[in-house]
Amino acid sequence: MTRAPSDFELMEHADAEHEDAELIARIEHDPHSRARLESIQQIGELVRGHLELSADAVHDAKFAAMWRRIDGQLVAPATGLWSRITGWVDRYRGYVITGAVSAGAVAALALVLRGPSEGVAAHAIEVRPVAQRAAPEIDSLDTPGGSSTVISLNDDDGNAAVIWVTPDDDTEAL
Amino acid sequence: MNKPGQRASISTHGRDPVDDRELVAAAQRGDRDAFKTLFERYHRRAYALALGVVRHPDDALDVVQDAFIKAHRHLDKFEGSASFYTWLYRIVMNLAIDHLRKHRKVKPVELDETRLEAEGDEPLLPRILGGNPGQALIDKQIRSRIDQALDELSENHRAVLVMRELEGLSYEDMAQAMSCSKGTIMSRLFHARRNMQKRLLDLLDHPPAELAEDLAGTPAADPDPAEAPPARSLARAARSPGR
Amino acid sequence: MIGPAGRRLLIAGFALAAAFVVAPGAARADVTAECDFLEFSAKAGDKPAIDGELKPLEKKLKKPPFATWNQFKLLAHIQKPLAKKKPEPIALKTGSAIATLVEIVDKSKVRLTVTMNDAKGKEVANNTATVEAGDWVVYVHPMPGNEGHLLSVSCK
Repeated sequence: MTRAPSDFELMEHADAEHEDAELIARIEHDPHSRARLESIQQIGELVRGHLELSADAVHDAKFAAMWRRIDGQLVAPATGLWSRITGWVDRYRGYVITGAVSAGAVAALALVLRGPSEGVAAHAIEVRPVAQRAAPEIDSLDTPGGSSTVISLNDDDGNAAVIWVTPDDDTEAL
Repeated sequence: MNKPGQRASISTHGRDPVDDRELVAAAQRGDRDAFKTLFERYHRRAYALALGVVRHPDDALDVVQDAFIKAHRHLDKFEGSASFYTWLYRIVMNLAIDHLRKHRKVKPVELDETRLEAEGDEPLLPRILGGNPGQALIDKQIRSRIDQALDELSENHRAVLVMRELEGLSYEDMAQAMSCSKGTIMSRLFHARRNMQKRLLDLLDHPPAELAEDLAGTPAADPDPAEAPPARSLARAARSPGR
Repeated sequence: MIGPAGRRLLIAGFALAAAFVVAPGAARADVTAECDFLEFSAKAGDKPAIDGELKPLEKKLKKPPFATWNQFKLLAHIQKPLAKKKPEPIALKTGSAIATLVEIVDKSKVRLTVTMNDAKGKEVANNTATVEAGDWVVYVHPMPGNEGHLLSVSCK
């Protein structure tokens, strides 16, 4: 009769520290060991998933502010165009705001003077670099007959708001 | 299910190392944009690591900020033998542990690390949450219990658990990072996991009143649909034959 | 440093630039956003499989809470231009949806309303979200047998 793997062996196997055919066979032949192995893996998934979701939930603005603080402490001179532009904007923020308000007023005047438009043109919106995008904002959400959870996921492909709908009658299909 | 030791790759973390090296080289020459790109790539991952260790969101943000400043300051010492992130996470980890030491109010009680073999005979608890941890994470109460369980771990146990589960570090690497023996790492990891399991199973055995109502079929008030946890998922998990 | 004359010049420059930029834009009376709707199913299987058209979402689908599944199959890919305040029916393989472009918040951000209905026409979710071009809103509806029915929306 084969000996059931110890917790210690199971842990090493779960962490890929101990790859041994004989141990794998012992685990496969023992349903209790398989369940315990799965339990170790599930803890890992829970901890990892929880921390990653917590990190994804931090608003972009906090990291943007963090970068500004970091950037302010870097010793090397700014050489990039963007750094120069943002540095210039920071320095002349007051004038930029005044200019922007004036621009709005002139633009509004231009629209009024122009009168009704004749042309109709399709207008595709502009995709900004991922780093500059804000995470989606949920303005309203109603899930009749169920509950919902909103989860924010961010990576270098972009942001996503995941709306997880759990129907009250969970046997009902869409 | 993934094979042991493997994990569903978190692609935000999967990087072309050459690409990172080019950015590091540019940053070493004084290119702030290159360093900013590195920041944009890794700030959330570094934050998850710091949060796992220091536990407080604002403290974790401080640790990440200090880590990037420190990384930039010592960029000239980065030789590229490891990936940039491997280098960065060590900085994050060291700062996070330093932070805990500086702000420690009570000396933590450590388990006797030599007791591994004796305690290792105790069975690990059986599978939890109906074999569906990914979906369980949409439940706020489960996530709150994970937070609580992480808080209750000793600093060393938590650090090892986070390094292993978030970064997939080997026992040897963790032993180096924490300046202790591989056996100590294994012991800490074993106890950390077992305590996490106990705390989470405790939730299912002794659910809070609100959840108990849900388990009994009483509909709970739903003040904010966007934020309301789908407590039924936990109810289903609790009823799951997997337990 | 910028002197007083420079400041005035700066403000005037902004105003003129705005007039040039905005005035032609007035011709765009009927603005539209090009939106992608990806309807797909999810389940756990022996081998991971993600349809090629779901590539833009692949990284997210490997994260929790999706990590519980490893097979994602595209059911429908619908591309539709959405005109402002004009509800557009989205024909799904399972159930249906109606999408409305509420407004273009700025040139890179839209506000959308999506209403999802089940196969019987019963409303499952009604959501308005403000989304940057290229980002996603993903609606997840867990199904019996640890399967899922998902609809992702992205505009540009």
